[in-house]
Amino acid sequence: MNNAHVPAPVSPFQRMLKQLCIDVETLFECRSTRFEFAQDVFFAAALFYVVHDAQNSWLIGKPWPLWVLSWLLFGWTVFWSILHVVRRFHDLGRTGGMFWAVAVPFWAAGRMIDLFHLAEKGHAVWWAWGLLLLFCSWSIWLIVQLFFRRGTEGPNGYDGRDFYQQAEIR
Amino acid sequence: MTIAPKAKSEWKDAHVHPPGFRARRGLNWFTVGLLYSMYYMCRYNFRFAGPGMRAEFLWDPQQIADLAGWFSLAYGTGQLVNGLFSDRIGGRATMLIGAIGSIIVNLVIGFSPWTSSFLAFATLWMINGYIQACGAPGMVKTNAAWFNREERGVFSGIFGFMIQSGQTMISLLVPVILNGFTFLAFVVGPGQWRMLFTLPPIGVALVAIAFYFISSPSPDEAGYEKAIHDDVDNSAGTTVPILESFKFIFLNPLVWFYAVAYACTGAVRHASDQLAPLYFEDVLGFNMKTNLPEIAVGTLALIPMVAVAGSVLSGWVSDRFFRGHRYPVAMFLYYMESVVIAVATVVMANKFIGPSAGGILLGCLFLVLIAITANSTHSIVGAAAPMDIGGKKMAGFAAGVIDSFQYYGAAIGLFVTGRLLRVSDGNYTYMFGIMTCFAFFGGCAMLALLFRQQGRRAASRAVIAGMALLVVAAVGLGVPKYRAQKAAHEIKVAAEAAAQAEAEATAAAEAEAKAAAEAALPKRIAPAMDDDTFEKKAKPKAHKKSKKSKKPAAQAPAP
Repeated sequence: MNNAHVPAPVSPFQRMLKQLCIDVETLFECRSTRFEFAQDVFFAAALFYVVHDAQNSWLIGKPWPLWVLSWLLFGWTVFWSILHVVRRFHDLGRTGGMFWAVAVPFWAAGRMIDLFHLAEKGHAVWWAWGLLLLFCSWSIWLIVQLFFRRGTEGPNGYDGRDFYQQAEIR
Repeated sequence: MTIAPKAKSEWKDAHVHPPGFRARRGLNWFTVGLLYSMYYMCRYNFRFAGPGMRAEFLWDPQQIADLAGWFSLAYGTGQLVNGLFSDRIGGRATMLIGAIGSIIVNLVIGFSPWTSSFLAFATLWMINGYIQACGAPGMVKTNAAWFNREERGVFSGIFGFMIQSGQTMISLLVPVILNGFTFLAFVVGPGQWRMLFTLPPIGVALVAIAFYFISSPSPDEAGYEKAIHDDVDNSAGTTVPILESFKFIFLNPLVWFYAVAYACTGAVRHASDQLAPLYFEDVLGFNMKTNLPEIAVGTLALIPMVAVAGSVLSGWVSDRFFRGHRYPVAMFLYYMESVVIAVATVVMANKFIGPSAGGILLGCLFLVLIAITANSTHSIVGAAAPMDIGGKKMAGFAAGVIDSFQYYGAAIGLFVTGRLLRVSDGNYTYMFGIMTCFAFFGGCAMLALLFRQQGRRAASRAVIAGMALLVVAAVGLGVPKYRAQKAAHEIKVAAEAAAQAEAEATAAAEAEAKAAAEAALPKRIAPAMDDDTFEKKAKPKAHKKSKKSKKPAAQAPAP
């Protein structure tokens, strides 16, 4: 077998995708303090609530471009929240991948509630609610940490590319 | 530093990638995986169309199982051939060819009038099976170039997620289609199973277009040179001549151990997947043709979720704790699976599963548990192991060989299960029993590989000999018993047919007698005659008759 590594041609579109990916990755690399995190998450939550409310009342019967706009705003709030959860985990010295540990159990619990119509059954299935709470307990603990735990002191490996570049320049 | 942070730090240092690489890989992975999951929309539509087809064409469960079995055979053969070709033309091109072919065949099935013929449908479905087999080798080959060995376990877990998301999408789409809907001027009535073959291809076409523009066959062609180190062949490019790939993979013993184990995964996974709607109808008493019960929809939607959780976890465990070795984790999972299904068999044999509240819950629970264990092995053996063996240049054929055995296993499992269900009048205990045997056999294959990799060749050979003995014993004991049961079933069916024929003859005779009696009654003169006229026309005759009959009475002497 030939082990020579010959560079492969890269198309302009692939170069553009590469740059886009670098930009997105850089965006997620920094750290957020508790205050910044709380501020951004509450802002996103408020916007989410306003858009949701508008979709259920004011937007009914309105032209479709307004609906598209509302869904774009919806998507943006979700992206904004994920971004700050990842940055806050970085501040705690943990990988941004921990976002999944927060999101997946809640998503799965929501699916369970839908599938088995737990909301309609209410207190009659208290044991199912208890199981779901147990299932989400670690995620809840992580959320508490995101809001209240102080970030690590000094560089922790998640400070972002600019931080280290500046450090090298100095 | 304690051991855990040190290991974590080493892991992190070993997996530093250039800026933007992880995001670009995620994007590539997303498009590749999404297209593969859309393949499932054009494959799993059959299992939902099965009850409708059975009602319309009067096909029996054995024919439905046979169709699924033939699909598996075609798919398995397609994996072998297409896997080899994917090593030559690249994973991306293979996936695109498969998507286009599958769209065409599904549309032909949906719109063609020949589907009522069993043979025509079987032929079309086998062609679909062959074309669908472009998906897995193409996907595994593309991703082999984008991941290091120790990253592939988690990837394979998410590969499982992509598969399951395809199944979830079709599970959610099916009730909408089968219950009927209206979209603008497009109206679909309830129970139109043909729509299951005409609507999903639209989704596949849209995703294939996105895939064409975004995906890249390797990091090199996306602008990330030497980002990944391939243990098998680290030179540039992702393609090799067919003969080179064939020789390298065919002569590698690891491939065959995984292939045998994967055949067992296929037998279990496909029996539980393909026969689930029939199981719901026959055992749990659900109506699966139009209004699917909530618990059936819930179970079919829950299965993919738990399967994903199991496959991601097993992949992660094999990456982190076994340094990318898949067989120890797979062995544990196979044995656990055999225990779960054995319990299900016992429960089923004691008739705890049935159309009662508890019986339905148990029946659905066991399907979910089987899905977790079967899909966990499916991901690490079917996706991670071929990439480790073949690398970026030969992962296509490695995946083809291993995956083809999954479908051969499925074909054997479905053929046997279908026949046993027929001769036992739908006793699903046999289905669980067969699945237990396959799961245990898969565990033994992985145990033999474990011994072999540890250098304990004698122990490995002993396990293989034990497996061979198991097969001989199963065939030797099972075939005569099946024949006896088949004979008894045929006698029973003949007796039932005779009784039915007798009942029909009696009914026909009664109908004939009734018709003769009606013919003896006076007939209406004209169809347009109303009842009053008819009465007037009919009564005088009766009066005349009574007058005639009264005459002799009047002449008779008084007593």
